[in-house]
Amino acid sequence: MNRTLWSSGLALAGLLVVGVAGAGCGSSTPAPTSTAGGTPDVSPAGTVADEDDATSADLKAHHRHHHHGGFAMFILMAADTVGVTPEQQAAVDKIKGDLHARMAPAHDVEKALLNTLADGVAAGSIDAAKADAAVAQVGAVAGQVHAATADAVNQLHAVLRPEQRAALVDKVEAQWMLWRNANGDEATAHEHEAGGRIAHIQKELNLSADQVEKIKSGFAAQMASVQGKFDPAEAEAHMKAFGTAFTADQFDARSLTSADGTNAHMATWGATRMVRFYQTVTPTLTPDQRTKLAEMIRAHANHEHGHEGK
Amino acid sequence: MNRTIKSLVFATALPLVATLAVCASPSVAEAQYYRPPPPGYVASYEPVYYNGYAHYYYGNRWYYRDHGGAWQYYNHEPAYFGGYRGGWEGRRHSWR
Repeated sequence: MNRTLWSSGLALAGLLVVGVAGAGCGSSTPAPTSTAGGTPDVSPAGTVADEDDATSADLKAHHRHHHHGGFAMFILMAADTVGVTPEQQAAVDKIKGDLHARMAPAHDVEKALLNTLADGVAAGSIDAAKADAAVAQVGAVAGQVHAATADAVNQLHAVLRPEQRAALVDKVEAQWMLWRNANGDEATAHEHEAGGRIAHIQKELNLSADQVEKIKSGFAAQMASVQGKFDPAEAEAHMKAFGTAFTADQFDARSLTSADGTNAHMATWGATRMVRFYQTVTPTLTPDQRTKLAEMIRAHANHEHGHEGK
Repeated sequence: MNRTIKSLVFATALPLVATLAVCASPSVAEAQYYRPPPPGYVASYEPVYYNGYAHYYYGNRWYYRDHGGAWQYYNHEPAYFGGYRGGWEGRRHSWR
């Protein structure tokens, strides 16, 4: 009887050890306070993996053609999906309208550049001097966007709750990652792969394998000759500074001194890359393909942010 | 005597085996299912706010970023999200 009791006690103790060990061996992190019946069973995750799904493909196509607003454009796009309460809606809509209006000069010079490219593609030759002058304009005006939009961004901070500010920063960061993925120098070697700009026009224009190969090697050569490569470190640092500042209780966009340089460099690089791409593509196309590509570029030129849908 | 030895073996081996089983399963599950939302997804969906965080329904899980910036998910869906799962796709923004 004693032996049975002792054995049972030992087994019970062993099972208690299992319970303690089982609770400790998992990788659970301290659970957040539950306010709505949530099960506080949280597992740690890692970093964001960039994958090329249909949604990011649409966004990358957007970021390949619209560089004028720099981070201010990312903020405007983030405000579209941050999620606001009915009480906040009118104020946020007004702020978005102000942001859009303040970016109009940058939008206009970019539209002129896109129309120059569309004209050149349709004609079979892009006017290099005109395109380069338009790129310089895009860069110059982008460098003034931050100051023009600072008040509106400050108002957005004031309207949003802390968790919405954090979400907006996540979304701005996501837009930046997509922009970099679409326009960074490292993307050049992968443009023919799924989600790349060569792959995109291959599908849209029904390019032959020979055309793809010519564009691939030609674009790589074009980009290798571009002076002053884009350094993502500047934009990474600005992204970090914006994230820290915007999630704080007190915020003043004018304190972000890295914005003007970052926006100007991003816009200049992105626009240059876009021009070099279409300069490479144009001589390889048939007349019908040129007509269709020109229409595609004009569609981007006429794109008005905020007119997309859910 | 034999019963005592059997009891001792049972009492020590069972907890050890059970401990290994408990510890091994979650890591396999996490490796298999963990995939936080990619940038295009975060950029395009309107999140659900819960517990002070923006949540995204992705890969049949609700994900959020903690204050350190790491993505976290729930092993068991909090009841709060039940009403949001069905209408989640309606929260997607089209960029076309």
